[in-house]
Amino acid sequence: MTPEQKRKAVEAALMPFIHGKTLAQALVLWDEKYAHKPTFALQHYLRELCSDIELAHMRSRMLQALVTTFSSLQDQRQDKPVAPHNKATTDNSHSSPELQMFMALVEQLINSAKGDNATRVRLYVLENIEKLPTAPNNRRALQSWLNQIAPLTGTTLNIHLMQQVINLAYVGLCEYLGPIKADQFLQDSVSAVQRDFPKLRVQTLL
Amino acid sequence: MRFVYLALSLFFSLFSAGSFAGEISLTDLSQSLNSSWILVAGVLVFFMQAGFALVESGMSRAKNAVNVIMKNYMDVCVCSLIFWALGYGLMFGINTTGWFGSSHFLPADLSDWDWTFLFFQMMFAATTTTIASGAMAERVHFHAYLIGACVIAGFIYPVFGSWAWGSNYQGEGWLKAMGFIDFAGSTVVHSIGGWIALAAVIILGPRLGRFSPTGEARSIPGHNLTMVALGGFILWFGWFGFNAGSTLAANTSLGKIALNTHLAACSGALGYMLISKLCKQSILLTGTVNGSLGGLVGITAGCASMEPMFAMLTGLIAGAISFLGPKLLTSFKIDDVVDAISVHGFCGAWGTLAAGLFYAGDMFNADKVGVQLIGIAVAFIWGFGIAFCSYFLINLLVGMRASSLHEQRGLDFTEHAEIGYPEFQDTRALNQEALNAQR
Repeated sequence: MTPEQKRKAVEAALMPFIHGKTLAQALVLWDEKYAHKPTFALQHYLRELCSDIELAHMRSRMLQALVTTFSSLQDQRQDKPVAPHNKATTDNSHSSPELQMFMALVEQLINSAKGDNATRVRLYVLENIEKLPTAPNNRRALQSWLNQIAPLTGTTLNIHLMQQVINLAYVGLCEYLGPIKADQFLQDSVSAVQRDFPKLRVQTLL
Repeated sequence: MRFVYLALSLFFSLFSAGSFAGEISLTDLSQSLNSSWILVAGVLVFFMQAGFALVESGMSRAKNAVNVIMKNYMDVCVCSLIFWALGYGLMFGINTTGWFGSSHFLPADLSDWDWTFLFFQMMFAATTTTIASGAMAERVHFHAYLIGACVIAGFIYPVFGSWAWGSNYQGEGWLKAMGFIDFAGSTVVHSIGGWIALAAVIILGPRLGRFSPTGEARSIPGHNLTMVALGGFILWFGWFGFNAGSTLAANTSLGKIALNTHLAACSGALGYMLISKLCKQSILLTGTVNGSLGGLVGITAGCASMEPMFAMLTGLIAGAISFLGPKLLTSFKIDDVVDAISVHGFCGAWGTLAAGLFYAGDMFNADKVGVQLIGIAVAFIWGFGIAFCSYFLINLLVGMRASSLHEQRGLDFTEHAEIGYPEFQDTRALNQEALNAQR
């Protein structure tokens, strides 16, 4: 997504909630601090935007509107023949088989939520990766990959970190779809990824 | 009748070393009968643990089934030892202040009857602890849970018990002295257990995804409803020992107590069904079992002092409470896996009040009801307050909540390296050495 597309998406999403001068100020804030940040910064943007009481009660609805608008833009983008997002998530040529399996499982898990919920789960994982006790370069690599900016190639992640990231996706699924669906999606994703990686054991990542 | 006594005396004489049939007096015979009955009743109460295990495990997901059973199994073991060492003395020891017992710790030299009494009461202590285990299912660390169980059996339960039921030797608990009616423990056992459960689940928080980000409650169905139903039947069966055993004598009142117990359980299930229909909701098996358990909890306080008609009414209302209670708790985002707080806490409080309201021959006596209300309130303050502080400390010191990774994997796998259903679950858990190496 170009910065211009993102700005339009923000404007469209916020229009039902704020107007005139407030909307203009919100867009100025976006341009100044968040336009060039990855998608997961949406939550930070809204936190700053809704710091005064008048907007605070609308924050969750505004976030939902933003997520929906962004995900519909992404869907349109995925319909095009060459999708940079796909490239970022599937370019595994320089990854170890374990890392490829890990990436496949995380993507499978997140995308099993479908639509807005998939975006929400992705945002959840992205936000919580910041809290994982890992080296900053690993964290940045994971954030870039999940934010569909760069593939996760040439990175070495230990099994424990991979398990934690998968767990974040599982917790995100629990949050947005409930634990029953989360368990089903986890089981289905493991089966699907196991079929693609018959020589490896997907269970080791859980 | 005399013939029956003669036959029984002959029977008992065969098992009494050093005695001859001719030497047994009616007092001895009566004591033997009492002891035999209380022993059987204690065994029935012990069997209730199996019922709790089945109900709680059936209402949990398959990946936590072993953990739930393990908690129930160890409850009996840990609580029995702690109650013998500490709880019995605190609850039934000489109680000159009215606040706690101060003798008979680590008992080694008791009378024959006292051993029987200790055995029976030991099972009650284990029951109180087990009530909280179901509420905490699927997200509590096993070792933290067991520490909590020790606190319940060694302190929370016996101290309150000493107020309402103490002492067995000298002195009297202050609630008992006021005339508090709780024949078999609607409050002493069940409400206390329910309030402890409430404190525990507040400290623990809900299971992953139990409530959506917008606050909507999501149902997390149990994995085996057949187990739930079987557990319900076993609990019902054991409850005859629980209530009728509380006479502490094999006398003629047993029949009415057992009848009241049974009627209340039946009307509890019916009460649940009626209110479900009134609220246009499906009649669930889990709800029906909980309705009958609510009826049983409700009648426990007044089973010896109520007419059957009022036992039914008590059960009917308790069944309705078991339906409404979980809705109230859910609105506060409280996650109680088996609805133990409603069934034991709320229905226990109602049953205690009902014991005062419907006291045969002296119904709706304001003084009696007032004392009952004091007992209910004090039980809440004590049970919830001390349990909350205890669990807060346990959480601080050893951590109570299992990690999200453990919740994902299931506590069978992470806490015990053993799984209940290997045909369907992750077979990696079968490699215990590998798992132990990971721990």
